[in-house]
Amino acid sequence: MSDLADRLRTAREHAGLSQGQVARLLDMHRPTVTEIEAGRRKVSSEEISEFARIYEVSVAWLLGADQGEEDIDDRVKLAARDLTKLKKEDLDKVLRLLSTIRGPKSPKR
Amino acid sequence: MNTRELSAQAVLAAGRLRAERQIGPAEAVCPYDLATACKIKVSFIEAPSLEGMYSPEPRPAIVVNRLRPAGRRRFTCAHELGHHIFGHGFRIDELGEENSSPTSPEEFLAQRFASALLMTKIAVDSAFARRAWLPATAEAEQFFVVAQELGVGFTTLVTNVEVNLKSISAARADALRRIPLPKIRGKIVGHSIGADVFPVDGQWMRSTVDVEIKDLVILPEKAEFSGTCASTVPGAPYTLIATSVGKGIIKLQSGRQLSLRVSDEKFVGLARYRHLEDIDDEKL
Repeated sequence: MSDLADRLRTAREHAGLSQGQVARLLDMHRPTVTEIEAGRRKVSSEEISEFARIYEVSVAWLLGADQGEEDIDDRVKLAARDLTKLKKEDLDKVLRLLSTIRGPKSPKR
Repeated sequence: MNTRELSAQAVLAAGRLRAERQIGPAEAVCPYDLATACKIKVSFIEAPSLEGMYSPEPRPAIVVNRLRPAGRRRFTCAHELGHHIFGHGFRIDELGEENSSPTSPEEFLAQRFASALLMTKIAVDSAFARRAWLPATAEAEQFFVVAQELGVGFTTLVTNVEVNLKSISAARADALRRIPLPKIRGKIVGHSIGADVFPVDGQWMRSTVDVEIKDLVILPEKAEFSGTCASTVPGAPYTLIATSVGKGIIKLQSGRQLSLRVSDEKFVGLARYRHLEDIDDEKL
């Protein structure tokens, strides 16, 4: 499976959508969504933009970008430093979710 | 800045946001719809030790723990929206006691903002007055009806009416908070019940009735329902039970229409898809 296919499936699951719902939202056939997520069908740039829009993720992340992760992770961890009840696995879930909306690294302010 | 000044700041900000979004001061607010309209990504996740989170970067995002009760989740979303409005930066709120005291001025602001947004004085007073009730003399069931219409928890409403609106005494608020929710729901439906109950009366001004699968909606007589996400309870023609994710229409005798929106309490994903029906693969 390609990275793109894998990320499309992850983004869909994070959005809480079934393949059937995605097909309806994008006016596709459900088997098309299945084929795309299995990496057996090419995805056009327009389709990638549409997937990004309905999943509310960045195109850059769908295409494999991971830039800027350390910056944001550090700030989230800083915000969580005094929380005694917050479990590490829950913080990791939040970080994974945030990773999907990251775009290209923004310049430092 | 002292708590009184912070409180005034929070109430002002909540009022401004309502005005910007053309939401009247007496109208009930859905914080998920409002945050989404503010271009914030709102997600539900399963994270037992988390209450909620706000991240301003790389685009604004709110995360709410789906394992918390419905009213609590809405309040948390409004609280995180407060962090967004005040530009507080990354905030993570771990699981806490309901109505626990805020730990910093930022948390106080967000908490007070959430109360002012969801339970304006006008909205609370109007909800009681329309039904010819007074907070000072209202019974627990009456507070429950108002809490359900405003979309907040029963104890959250009681605490707001006591602490922020100062319409009931501390002793009365304590007495109300001690009444278990199942007892209140049981008194309304006439038998013990595990699911949540939404008594929609002729004075229900909110345009939506937001429930979860298995919840009961008690309609006024002669109201009509159309849709597939709920069905009437046998022997109780004006009581609906929510059966599946989706939307339906409740038509009141006055001609007013309310949108019944059903979600699944187990839903994990973007808030804007919480009422989206799944579909039969055969049709695609």
